[in-house]
Amino acid sequence: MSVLEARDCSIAFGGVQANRDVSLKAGEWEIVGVIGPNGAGKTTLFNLITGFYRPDQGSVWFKDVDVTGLEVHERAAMGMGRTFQNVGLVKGSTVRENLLTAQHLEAGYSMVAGMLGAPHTFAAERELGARAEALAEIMGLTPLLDTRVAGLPYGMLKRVEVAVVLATDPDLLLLDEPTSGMGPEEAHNFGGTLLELRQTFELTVVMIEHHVPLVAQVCDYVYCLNFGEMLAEGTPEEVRSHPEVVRAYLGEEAEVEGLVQDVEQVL
Amino acid sequence: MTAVLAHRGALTGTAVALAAVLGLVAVGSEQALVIGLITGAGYGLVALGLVLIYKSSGVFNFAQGEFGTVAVYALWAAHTNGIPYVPAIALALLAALAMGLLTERVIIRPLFDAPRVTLLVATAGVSLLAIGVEIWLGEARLRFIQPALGRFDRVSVLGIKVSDQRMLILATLIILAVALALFFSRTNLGLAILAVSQEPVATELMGISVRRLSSLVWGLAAVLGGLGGVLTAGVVQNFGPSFITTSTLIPAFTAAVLGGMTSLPGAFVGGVVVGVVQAFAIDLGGEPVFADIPGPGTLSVFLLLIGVLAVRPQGLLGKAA
Amino acid sequence: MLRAVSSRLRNHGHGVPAATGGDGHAPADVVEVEVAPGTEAIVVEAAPLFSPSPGGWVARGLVWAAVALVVFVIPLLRDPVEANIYTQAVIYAIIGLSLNVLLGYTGQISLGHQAFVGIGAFTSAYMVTVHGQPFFAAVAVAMAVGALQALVLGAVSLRVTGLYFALVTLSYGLMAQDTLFNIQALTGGSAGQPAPKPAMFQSDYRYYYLCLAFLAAVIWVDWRLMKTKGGRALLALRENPRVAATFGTDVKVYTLMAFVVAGVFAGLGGALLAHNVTSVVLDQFSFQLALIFVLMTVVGGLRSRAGVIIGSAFFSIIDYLVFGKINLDGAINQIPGLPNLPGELAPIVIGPLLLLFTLTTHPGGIGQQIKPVQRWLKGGRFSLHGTGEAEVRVSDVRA
Repeated sequence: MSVLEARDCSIAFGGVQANRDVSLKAGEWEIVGVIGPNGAGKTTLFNLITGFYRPDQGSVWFKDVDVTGLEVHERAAMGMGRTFQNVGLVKGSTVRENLLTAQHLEAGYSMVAGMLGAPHTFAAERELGARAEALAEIMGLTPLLDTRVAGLPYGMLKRVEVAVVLATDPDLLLLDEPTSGMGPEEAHNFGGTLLELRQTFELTVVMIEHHVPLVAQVCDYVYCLNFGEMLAEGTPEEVRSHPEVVRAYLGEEAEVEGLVQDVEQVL
Repeated sequence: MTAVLAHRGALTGTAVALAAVLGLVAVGSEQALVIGLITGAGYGLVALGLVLIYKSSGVFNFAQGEFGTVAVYALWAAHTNGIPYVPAIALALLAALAMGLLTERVIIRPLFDAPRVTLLVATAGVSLLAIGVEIWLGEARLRFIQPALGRFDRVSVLGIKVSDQRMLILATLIILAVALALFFSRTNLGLAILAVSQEPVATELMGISVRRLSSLVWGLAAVLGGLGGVLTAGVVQNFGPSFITTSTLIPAFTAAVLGGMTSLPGAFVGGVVVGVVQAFAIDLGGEPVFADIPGPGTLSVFLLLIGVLAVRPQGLLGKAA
Repeated sequence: MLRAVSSRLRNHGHGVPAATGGDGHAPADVVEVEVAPGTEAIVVEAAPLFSPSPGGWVARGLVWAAVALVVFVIPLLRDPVEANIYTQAVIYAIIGLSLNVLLGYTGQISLGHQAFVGIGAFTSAYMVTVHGQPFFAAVAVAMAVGALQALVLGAVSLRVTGLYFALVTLSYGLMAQDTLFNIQALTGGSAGQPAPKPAMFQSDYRYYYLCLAFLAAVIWVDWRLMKTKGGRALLALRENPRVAATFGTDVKVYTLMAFVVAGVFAGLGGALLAHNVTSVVLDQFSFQLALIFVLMTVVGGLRSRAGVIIGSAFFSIIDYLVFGKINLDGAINQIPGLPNLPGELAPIVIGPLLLLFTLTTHPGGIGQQIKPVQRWLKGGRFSLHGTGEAEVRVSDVRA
């Protein structure tokens, strides 16, 4: 049983084929890597999986359910968690508030009950607060709980984002370049963290990554995209030595890499 | 065959328009058609200014109506102080221009990077301030103004007499719509304005002064608004504080929305549509069955706006979202 | 893995106080958090623990007492006409809070809010006068009608961008003025509709306290809203709707809910207004009023309850205060060449000037300015700077 399956997904933006017949599978508790040069369509694929885009063709299956037609928040309710390339947090709020907001679906009371101040909402809020503090503790963020997110340096933001996405209680974690901006040692430490988190929270992880050693360290399976198409897939060693992959990263096609990314950003 | 398919939007539109015209004539609503067409042209004039500003900066200029009212008050003040009509109009447009440039400099520029909602609120503030000053300096009562052209019976369309003033509005709008469309697509300055709206930083790096362009756009929109106000006043002849805003701003906004908010010819077409629909509704309001519904004109515009947003938010001429 | 380290202070030249003594101990509120071993660290200076001195407590208590005096006692001592005006200030506060939910929390602007208030007023008057319903039932109906309008309007217009929503509300406001308020049967036409005060609260003073009670209820709901998942969801979707969606928030539903809440409060405000002046006439609710509502909320300070209350109250009594008490129009009338500025015009001349000033120079409005005072009143240290939250500095850590 695969937790996540994207079947032959294709999507085009104004003439640019961002994804063409992309298929991907992630089994329970696997850590799956998605690699490829910039502009290969990796984030587009994530957007398709999480529901920000609908594919022109193909389908997305989550826990054996066809979720292709579901909205983002509906997929989140089913257990899909996701981070963003340029850090998806409510920057005007504190870390604590972000952790609380992310537990939206765990609140256990309705919005109306909350507004009216029904008695059970107070207890529920205390519990949410406790959970927020526990998550912060796990990620070593306790001193930062009451700091405004906007004031934090980039590396910190990535860690906060991981804590926050864990607060949504996901079964599947889609991480978009979680180690961007990190050096090799930090990335390695993050790999260790990720393995621990997978264990503690029983997660399946799909990860867009550029740090090749990290991919080798933690991924059970790797997909390589280029120009919106699946170039190769397999274990990290297989993919790393695949001739097409090598050519994609080092070869003459490198100059067109920014195209799809630019298109996505404009739209 | 492919040519037909490629232009099917325009063809459908033309077919619908023809059907509407014939339908209106058939039910005896020539009045609605003719008068509505020209009132709609007036809305189109104000809408042009709105679209201009929106296209270049993403701001909904709530004060666009007051550019018109201020111009009318200036016209009236100049005229009653003995200045002949044509120079008085020039003065009126100058007043509108001044107001536009002042607004741009003092309000819009400091808020350049603010969320667009903030700017909307700011322009609403400008509008309210203008209204307050009008009431304060000009008193809250209605005043009377002469039209630019005086004859009422020279032109007749479909049996309805159309005043010279109304024909003037129509002619002005058509000329302006064409001129602006050409401006934006053919001249360097026009293209620069479009570039600024999409990529202000890149445009600045290319040596184009974003600040000067902003002043230009607001000045132009203000003059357009002033012109619309002055011409409309000539038709309606009685005016009071805030009168362009209350009579024209919402229909103009609806017109701009119909046109997709970024299309200048769309603003023109949208204006005409709104004008005709409104006139028709007012006509209908005379029928016994609808007699109890007050304010059919405003109601019809509101329903049209909601209808468009519900069914086709990108407007008639806009691209699909 | 990160480790929070309470450790020796290092002097980084960033204003962090130097360690005292040989191996000085860091005050418990300064913490170093390493991003990774051997690389940069973040120095987090938590809000220092502070407790006011006994004198400080007395001072704060006195200020609280003064506030209570102004709110609860002073109106009693004035004549009924003035009490009436204070009541209007309280009702405007309710309306301001209503608009704040939309504009401040959700980031949507309603330019037709006077229609919601007006319809609330007419509904309540209608229920009492034409249907003979008791006051509280009529108010409840007015609130329900407010919710209904928001639901219908919102369902159509919240699907498109926020700026279009502003337009739709504006159009709705104008339509209400021309069409809805002119429906004779509902609004009594130009004669207006009488709206008597409820039996138990006939006197102007009692009605003032009744309105204060309603304001307290609104503040309670607003407070609970922002302390629970609903308010947090609104703030998230206002700033970053994509991220809010990944938290499981249905953006459309929550925006609509916020609008409904705003509609309910506005309906309440309208009903209370009607019975305050005991009759509702349609020209009370022009579209200039909609702009005044917006500007009193913005000048008050978005997302600041106290600020919005103060701003709204101020705007509702501005003509009375500024022109009656301080006699500003006397001063203006001295300026030659300038015609008299009647009191009723004050809001729409001074108001926009304040609004534009606020937007361009102090976007946080009154709420931002009184934050230091609020913090002090709650027992914090009085300081004009700093947010009271933990401050973060990035510094270099070399072993």
